[in-house]
Amino acid sequence: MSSLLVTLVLLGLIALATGIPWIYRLCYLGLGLAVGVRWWSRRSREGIGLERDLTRSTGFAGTDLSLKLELKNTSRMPLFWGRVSQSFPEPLGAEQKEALIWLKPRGRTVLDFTFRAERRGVYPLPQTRFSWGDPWGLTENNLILNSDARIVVYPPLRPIIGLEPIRHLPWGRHPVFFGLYEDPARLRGCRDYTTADSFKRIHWPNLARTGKLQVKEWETTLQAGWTIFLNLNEPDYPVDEWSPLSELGIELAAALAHGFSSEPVGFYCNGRGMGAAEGTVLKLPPKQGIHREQQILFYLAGVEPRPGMEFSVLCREARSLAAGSCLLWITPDVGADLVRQVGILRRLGYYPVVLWLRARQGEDGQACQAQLDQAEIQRYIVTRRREDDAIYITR
Amino acid sequence: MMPSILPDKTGEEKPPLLGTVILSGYAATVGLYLAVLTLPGLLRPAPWVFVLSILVFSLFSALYRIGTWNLRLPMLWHGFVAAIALWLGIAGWVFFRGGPVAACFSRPFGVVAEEWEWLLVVVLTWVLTVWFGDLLRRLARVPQHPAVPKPSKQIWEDADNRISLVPWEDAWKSWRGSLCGVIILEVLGWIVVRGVSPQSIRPSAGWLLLLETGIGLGLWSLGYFYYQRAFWRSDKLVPGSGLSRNWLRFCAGFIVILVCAALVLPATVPSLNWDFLGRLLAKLEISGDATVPESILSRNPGRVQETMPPRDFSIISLIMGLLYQVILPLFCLLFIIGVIGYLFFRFCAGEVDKIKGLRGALIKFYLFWRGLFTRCLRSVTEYLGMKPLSQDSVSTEARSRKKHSSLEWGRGPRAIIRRGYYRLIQFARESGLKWRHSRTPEELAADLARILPQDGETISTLTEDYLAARYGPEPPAAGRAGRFERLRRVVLNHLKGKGKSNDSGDENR
Repeated sequence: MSSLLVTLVLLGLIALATGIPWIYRLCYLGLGLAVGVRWWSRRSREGIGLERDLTRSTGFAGTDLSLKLELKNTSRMPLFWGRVSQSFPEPLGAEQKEALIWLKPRGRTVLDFTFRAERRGVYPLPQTRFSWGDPWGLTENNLILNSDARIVVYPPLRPIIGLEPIRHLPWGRHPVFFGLYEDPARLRGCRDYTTADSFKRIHWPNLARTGKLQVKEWETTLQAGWTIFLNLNEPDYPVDEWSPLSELGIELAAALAHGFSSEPVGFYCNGRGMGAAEGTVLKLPPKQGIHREQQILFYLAGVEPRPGMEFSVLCREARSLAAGSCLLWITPDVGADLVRQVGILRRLGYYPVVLWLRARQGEDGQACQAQLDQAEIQRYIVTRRREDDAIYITR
Repeated sequence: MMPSILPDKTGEEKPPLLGTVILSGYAATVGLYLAVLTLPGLLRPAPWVFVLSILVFSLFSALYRIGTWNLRLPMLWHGFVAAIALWLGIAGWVFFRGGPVAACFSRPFGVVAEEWEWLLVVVLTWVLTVWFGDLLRRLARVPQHPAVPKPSKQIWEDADNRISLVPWEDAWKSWRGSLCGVIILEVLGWIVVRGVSPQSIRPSAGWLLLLETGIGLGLWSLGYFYYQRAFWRSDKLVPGSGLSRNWLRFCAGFIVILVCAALVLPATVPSLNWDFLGRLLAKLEISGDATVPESILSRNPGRVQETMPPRDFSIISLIMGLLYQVILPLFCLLFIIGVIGYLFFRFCAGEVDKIKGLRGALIKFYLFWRGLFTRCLRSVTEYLGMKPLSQDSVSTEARSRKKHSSLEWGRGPRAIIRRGYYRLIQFARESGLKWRHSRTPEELAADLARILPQDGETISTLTEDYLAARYGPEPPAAGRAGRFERLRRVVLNHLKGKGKSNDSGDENR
């Protein structure tokens, strides 16, 4: 703009001094260009609309997500060139996506920026920058779009190999009774008779009809579903492996929440994440439905280990659940205190299952395992193998 | 000739054909304008032949210059081609005017001397085409590698993988300045010619000036497109055909509307109408009698008549008068201000950044002219193939105080280890460690161990301590930080010893 302005000023002075009509016409030409371009710039600034659509920007880690950008030109002047820049943070590929566009008068265009969700997290969407200008380089405008929108990347859902959840096992070393809380007014269905089923449950009309022994099953009267307890107390994790173990625990919790989504699932965690106030435990009581799974996954997307919230806090919270609930304890540290606390819960009528996060299979912790066995508490060792990235659960 | 081992960072897709055509039209219009304004007798015998010849010649020169821009032909070859083209042009000009063509072969220099007016216009057109053709070709280059806006930002990257876009920025500035400068020069030429002989101006000169300005605006836009395209291509953005097509279409339409509006609008605006300039010229005692206002004549008729120079020398006297009365005093004034700025600059060595106000402005003024002079000198020496000036002798930053970026490490063992590691790496970089943002501490440790093979274990211990301090959940113990410091000093001393031995080795060599 400076070159043109200097030229215009000089031409204007010369025209004023000499009065030559053709120099006046040159001034008109230059002035028309400067004014026209300024006017176009102002109008285009008012007429440009930029919208971001994050419908497909939420997903699981390891998948490709996309961000949709819609650009509108509501003015009657064209947009000669425009450059859209959208950056993504490092866990989302750390890429700078750019596109070059032009827009007709009252035109619109839609851009689709694909990015790779590499790590779980809740990331604020970086600003979108749109630059455009006139064909003479006299003006250039920038539109920076900021918003509170977030890109949520859930932890990946890994296959769990070796876990056989038992909800109802009236016999064996770790019996899990479930009959006390069935409502005889709400018949759910019938199944074949198995050993140790009570004679009171036999459906006699069905026996008469089919000639086979069948027993009745009723709906439960209490929300005694699955509840996941994730211990993210930082001091409980070993210093050298806190990161892979915490990630393993989070991914295991996500996989369990997804696996039990057809039943009432609850979630309690003592980490630092969105959805829970600072210094409090996240409490999501057991509830059935996709909404609860989404809540759990959203929390797990942004949760981090934090110090100061010990495991016993979770044990206290567990006592508020309905008796008979199955409690899945995901923890990296199994000590005497945990054995004692979980044992109390077992005696109170809950069915705790300890899922012990380990970086690798080892012989340590035998004493605690023996104590757990003695307290009739199911316990498993959770590991991950590099070959298939699945979560392996062994006894 | 040996092939260049340097990577070719700019691509030459194809010569910009549209730009060549517009440029030749622009140059032809400028040539015509000059001819109409200064040599009206040149067009009288065969105006259309002249127009056609100047068009053909400018098209040829634009095509030749843009087509052979990257061939690095010797100057002698260009001179030979220009001489042949001019001679052929003169022969064609003589032929179409119905003159003796045989004379072009029998006595070529005589014909050239006879047709000096035509030759003058054509040579000016040639020079203009070459000038703008070079600029256009520089703008139209396509960068092949990722680019950086400023070369100072490529400190931590391999220089081979990046290309600076500063030449494009410079070319764009020159492009704008040249287009505006040509218009200003033509307008000034109009005034000079009008001052000498007002009756010689033809109305077609005005039309040509307006047409040339319109084409110049089109060229301006085209140059800007090439300039922007360089930035886009450097970022892997490809402008589609729709963008360039609509760009040119809307641009051409807008210029046509502007030209029509300029023609329709009234141009007889009240003005000082030459009297002001006439008075100025009379005051400078350089103007012809035709321009001296009546008021001055009536005030002192005898003296004015005596001092009036003849009409033929009025242009020279105008230039000399401007030189002595305006440019020389201005130069002296600027020189004095520059000397004062230089003195301030010398007396305030190291504190230049802190000085504000008038003194700061004087120093900036001096530095501006010094930088301009240095740049010009460097470009001239590079052009002549001489050794360029050393950077240190002209560096402005050498005089200003160094600005250190402040790094806050905090307190505690974690901060001690991080700060120590940072200092170690800084020193190692000065000793030859290749450092980049993307390199991990483990990679740096491997490289450092290659420099100091005897300290391999120490370096790995230092790296482990740093990793624990930087990324571990718990701050390291105070004892660990103390051990880190001790080991770090050992490595640092070895690095210093290594540097000294290298220096002495260099001296011995």
